[in-house]
Amino acid sequence: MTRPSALRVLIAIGSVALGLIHLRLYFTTYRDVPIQNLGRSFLLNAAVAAVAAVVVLVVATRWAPLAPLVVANATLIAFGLSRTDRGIMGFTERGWTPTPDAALAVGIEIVTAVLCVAALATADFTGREAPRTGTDGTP
Amino acid sequence: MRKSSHSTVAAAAILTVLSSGFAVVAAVDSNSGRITPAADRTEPAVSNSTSVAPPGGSNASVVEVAISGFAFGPPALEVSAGSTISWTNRDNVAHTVSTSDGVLASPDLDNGDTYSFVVDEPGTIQYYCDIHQYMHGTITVTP
Repeated sequence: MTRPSALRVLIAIGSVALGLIHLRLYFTTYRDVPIQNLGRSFLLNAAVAAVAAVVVLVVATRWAPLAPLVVANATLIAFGLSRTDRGIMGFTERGWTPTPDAALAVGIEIVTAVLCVAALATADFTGREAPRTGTDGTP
Repeated sequence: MRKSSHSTVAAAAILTVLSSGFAVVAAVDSNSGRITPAADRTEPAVSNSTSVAPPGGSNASVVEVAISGFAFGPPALEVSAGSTISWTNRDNVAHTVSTSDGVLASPDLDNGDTYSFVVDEPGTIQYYCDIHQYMHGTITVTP
């Protein structure tokens, strides 16, 4: 078992944080929206973000950061769409409300996505793989 | 790093830049006080419109409407002419009180903000939230 690198731990923290914000937004605000799938999408976001955090910590391939990267970017795109006239799933919102959750979530998503790109670019692995040892304990 | 790896990282970087930029620009642009022209709306028009006046008239009764849970409560009101209607936003997101002809045209109401106006002519006013246009309310003004 290898230990996750600091970069991957940061990515996991970011992913969990953005999931928690969406979970909070669901219970404090968006579960009342009369577009059921809109509210559920906040719950789905929280669940998927938690799974992505686990993936980036546990899955020892260089491509594991793609999971939180996709979650962060998809969430950013959904946020952007909700601020357009067309909205998302018929739902529109304006500016950076709810305050401060919207701005906080976008900031965390951008940072998490950038960290994911850095992890992919540097082929950051889950720490360093333990050196293989022979039966006599020699490398 | 292999060429395919370079391509994947580059694609990830480009996606991140584009999605981040889109989110920020959309939020800033939507926050610039945009008001949709009345001609572009499909909401019911105001009939027998009332005039906007400062709240607190001498003989006016005040009727409170709470904006909560993405709904106006109560959604339908019957008030006498001269009454003051006062909307207070109890949600964590901004709402407006708007009519398609602009008779009611509150600014974005944040949590705790109040918008008031006086109805002075009998008739029916159908209003909505300009941000969440599935939120509707009706005021019936009696003589």
